[in-house]
Amino acid sequence: MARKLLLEKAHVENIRYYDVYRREGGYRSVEKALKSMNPDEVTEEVKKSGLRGRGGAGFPTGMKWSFLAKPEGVPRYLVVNADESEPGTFKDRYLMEFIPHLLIEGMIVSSFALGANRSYIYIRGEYWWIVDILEQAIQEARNNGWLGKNIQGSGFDCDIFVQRGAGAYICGEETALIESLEGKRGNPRIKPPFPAVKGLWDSPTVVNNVETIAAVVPIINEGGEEYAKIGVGKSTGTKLISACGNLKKPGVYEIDMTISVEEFIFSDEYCGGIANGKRLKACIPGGSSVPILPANLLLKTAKGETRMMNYESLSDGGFATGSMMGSGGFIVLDEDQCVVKHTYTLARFYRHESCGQCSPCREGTGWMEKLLLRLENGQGKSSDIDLLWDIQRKIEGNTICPLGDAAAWPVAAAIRHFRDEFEWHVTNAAEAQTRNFGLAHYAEPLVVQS
Amino acid sequence: MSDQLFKVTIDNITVEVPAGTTILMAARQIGGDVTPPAMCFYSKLQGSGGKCRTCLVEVSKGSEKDPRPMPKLVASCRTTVMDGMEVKNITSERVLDARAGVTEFLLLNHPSIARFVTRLVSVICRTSAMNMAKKVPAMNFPAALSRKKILDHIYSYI
Ligand SMILES: Cc1cc2nc3c(=O)[nH]c(=O)nc-3n(C[C@H](O)[C@H](O)[C@H](O)COP(=O)(O)O)c2cc1C
Ligand code: SF4
Ligand code: FES
Repeated sequence: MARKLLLEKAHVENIRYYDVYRREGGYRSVEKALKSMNPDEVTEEVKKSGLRGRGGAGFPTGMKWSFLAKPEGVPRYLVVNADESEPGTFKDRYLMEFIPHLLIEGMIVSSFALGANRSYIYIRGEYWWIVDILEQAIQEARNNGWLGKNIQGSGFDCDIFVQRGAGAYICGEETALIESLEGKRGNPRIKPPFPAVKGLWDSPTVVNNVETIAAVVPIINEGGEEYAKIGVGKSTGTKLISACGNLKKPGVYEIDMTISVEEFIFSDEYCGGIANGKRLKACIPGGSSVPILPANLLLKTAKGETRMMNYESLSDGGFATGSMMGSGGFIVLDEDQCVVKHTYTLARFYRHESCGQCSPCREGTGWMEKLLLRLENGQGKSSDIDLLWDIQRKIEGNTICPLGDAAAWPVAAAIRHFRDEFEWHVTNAAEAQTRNFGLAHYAEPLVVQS
Repeated sequence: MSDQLFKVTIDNITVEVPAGTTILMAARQIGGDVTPPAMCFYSKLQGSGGKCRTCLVEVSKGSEKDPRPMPKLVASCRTTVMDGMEVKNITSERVLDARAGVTEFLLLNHPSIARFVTRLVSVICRTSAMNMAKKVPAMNFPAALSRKKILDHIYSYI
């Protein structure tokens, strides 16, 4: 049984409310940090823990915090990125909905470490009911002296504000989020300057994912070195995975990054296998923007090693034969799913969510969508596949923010691994409308576990 | 600080510019083929640039202190020079390829593509000072252009 840190108490009844949360040992980390540590020691613990950002890029959090510029007389801000809009990712929602106080607690400790007196939660507009949950948790924390002036007599002031987004995916990108928080249109900024130097209202700002901030709580409670013992290599601690798609038991799971992908999909403790007795065809292991992997490459790396659920192993083989941990949105496709249609759906999403600032992303995402729609509808030409490849290559790396890359990677990976399926859509256009290609072609090397 | 002079090498030509100058402005000092085309940057307009991506260049050496190359192509209109920086513009295949891509993206959804190609290419040629401007009026596009033709055309100018 894997160790749980974040979701350990998630199923205690009424854990959403302060009294129960406190009785279960909540806010211990704030007490510990404010009474016996100084801000640099907190940052040091987070560094020791090896915690990596859970928002997608996997950048070490301790290092990110130590990059924060600390000029005299300028306020600093902590912004929690709760704009979870990536298709397939819903772990932050779970965390905020069931144990909102964990996030608040983590924010107080993190704000203390960063010296931020005002912190923000930028939450996705569609999560309207969670706003109320968070507001209530903040009010309870304030009433009990965990927020406001002079917290627990330590002399540290901190307040937390919740800001709702308006439903744009791009506002999850940290500089677009900051723009949106300032009340402007959510256009990503050109970096440098990085937010750590010039972020919210031109002040140094740290933007972290909800899960990253929540993970600070067990790190302070147990110590960074203890935390680093969980997991393997540079993938320390636990990670929330939101599994969805054709699975028997989709949902949010906390894993300790030492299990294999096969165990995660097929064991009863986790997803319980593919629904309806079908076979596994492909999987996107980290949210819609990371490359898709066919079943044989998903379970084994190109070198023949078992693929594990951690940052290094999932990205083993680069983009040619690997993928990425991303934000932990685990999307599983069974043998009946059409990769062309799937890729089209994603391309449509990125076309819609592109902010339109830079030419490659604005024009390229729309072009890819058109071509994929044509292929999906059976009017494609075989040259369209090469054209798609060419377009994605010209978008990737040439844009202001990583959304351009995120739009290009799924298309690239789909063509790389499932080219015969695209070709089948061109050559058997009529049949492609009624039946899906593949029929477990990609699932061949696998045994279905009962 | 601002009277400090930085040495920057663009396409193997070295110039000295004041600190804070962008790569594009440094390249304009050299002039000729070295200058990247720039469409959304206007030197007098603060905060302009960075969007159209036609001015992408490759930084093959970051600076004297930190010689690592930059992994991605950067927008020269918004990147300031560092001392000892080495930049590749038309000597880099990657840049030319990306620029052709960007130009194609810009043309893609334009209603009167033929006229626009002429104008766009003339703008690019003018700003990049590739000495192509003389050729531009001779361009005459048929009403329906194949992608290949447009691409060939773009490549022939970049
Ligand atoms: C287009 C785009 C969308 C993003 N959306 C989110 C998001 O919804 N939630 C999130 O936490 N990070 C998102 N990110 C990543 C953030 O930019 C940033 O890397 C992250 O919040 C950093 O937090 P971390 O260090 O805790 O991972 C997105 C990035 C991009 C480029
Ligand atoms: S890559 Fe796309 S989303 Fe990002 S700034 Fe450019 S146009 Fe906007
Ligand atoms: S001129 Fe448009 S990006 Fe530099």
